[in-house]
Amino acid sequence: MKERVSGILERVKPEFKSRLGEGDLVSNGILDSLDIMNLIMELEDEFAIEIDPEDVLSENFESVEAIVALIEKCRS
Amino acid sequence: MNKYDEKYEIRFAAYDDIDEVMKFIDEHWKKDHILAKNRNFFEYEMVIDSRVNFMIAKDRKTGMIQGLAGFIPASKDKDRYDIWGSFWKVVDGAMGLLGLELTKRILKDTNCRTDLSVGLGFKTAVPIVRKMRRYEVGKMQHFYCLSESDSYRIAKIRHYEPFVENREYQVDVIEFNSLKEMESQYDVSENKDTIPYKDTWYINHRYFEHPIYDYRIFGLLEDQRVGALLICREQEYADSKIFRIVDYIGKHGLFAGISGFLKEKLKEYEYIDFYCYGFDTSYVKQAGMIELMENDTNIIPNYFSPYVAENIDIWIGKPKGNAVFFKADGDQDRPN
Repeated sequence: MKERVSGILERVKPEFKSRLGEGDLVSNGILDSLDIMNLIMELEDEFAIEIDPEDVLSENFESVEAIVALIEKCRS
Repeated sequence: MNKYDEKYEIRFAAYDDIDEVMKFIDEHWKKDHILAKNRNFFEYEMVIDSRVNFMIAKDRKTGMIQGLAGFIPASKDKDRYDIWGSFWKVVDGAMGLLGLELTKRILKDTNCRTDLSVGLGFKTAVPIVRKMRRYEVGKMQHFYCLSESDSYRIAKIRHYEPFVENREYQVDVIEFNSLKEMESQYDVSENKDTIPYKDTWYINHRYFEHPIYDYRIFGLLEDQRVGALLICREQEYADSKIFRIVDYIGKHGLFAGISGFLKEKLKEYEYIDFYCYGFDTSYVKQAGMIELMENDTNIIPNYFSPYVAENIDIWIGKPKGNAVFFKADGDQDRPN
């Protein structure tokens, strides 16, 4: 799943891979609100989930691992 | 306190922040925007009872504003405090979702009943509001009626639709020249269940006391009693003028009876227009107004400073449930 999420991130934010070493994706401004919105739409399509607005929190999008955890939460 | 508070000081703007907020608007929203240049107008629109209606996020290291979200209240009623979002902007490189965080803080700190959006950017705010706030979004409907003319200077008319007066149902229309006159004949608290609730303070501040525009406030009579308010404004351009219905407060059904009023106005105005959402538009059509359709070849302009010869969509956002929107809501219908 991590690879699929990474693939989506690359589509949404092509420079994502080159900025991987910069730390948290949201706190460090790598992903902005529009990116996150596009990411949410792609994740919902790819994994057939619905992300609740209450889960649209910066901590859920800070890393690939955090996004995977969010997907698993939505699936359960 | 959360991660945002570690990086930013997030709070209502203080009076001392106004210069900085205006500078932010000029640099990051729109150069020479009226709220970036006109301090008096800024204070008129965004400072109510000494509170500056902007939530700002100041970077703790640099002290610079990195994001702001403004709002405009529809009343001073504590139990029915509905607001419209206004400016909503975060600089590049700021923490992601800072804009959403600012909105959340406004909802919490104002304790508003409803938070509405009017004039959303189609490519930016509409998808964010729809997706991340699960708000309903929609486009206001635009109605108009034309005077008889050989040449229209403001509208661009490809297919002429004559105005047809509805003689079966007509209401008397009176004009209020002061708040006192209006209050003596109409109790706006009758509309307490409407969202947004616009109280006497709002009508006075927004319309009677507007520092630049000259709004006209009409009362529509039912059984010799005012049952609704119709708020209008004249717009001049190219040696011609139009009449814009910019707000409506009260019983929707009375709108159907203003056909005679519209007919009289069309003797001096090129056309009359009316934007609305959530309003029973069968009444608008009964009054003789025509809906401007998608890809309509007739052009009924919305922007005049500068003039733009295009049909303009106005997008709104709202939580589930009923709400009505008109042209002058929020920060719309603002001088340039």
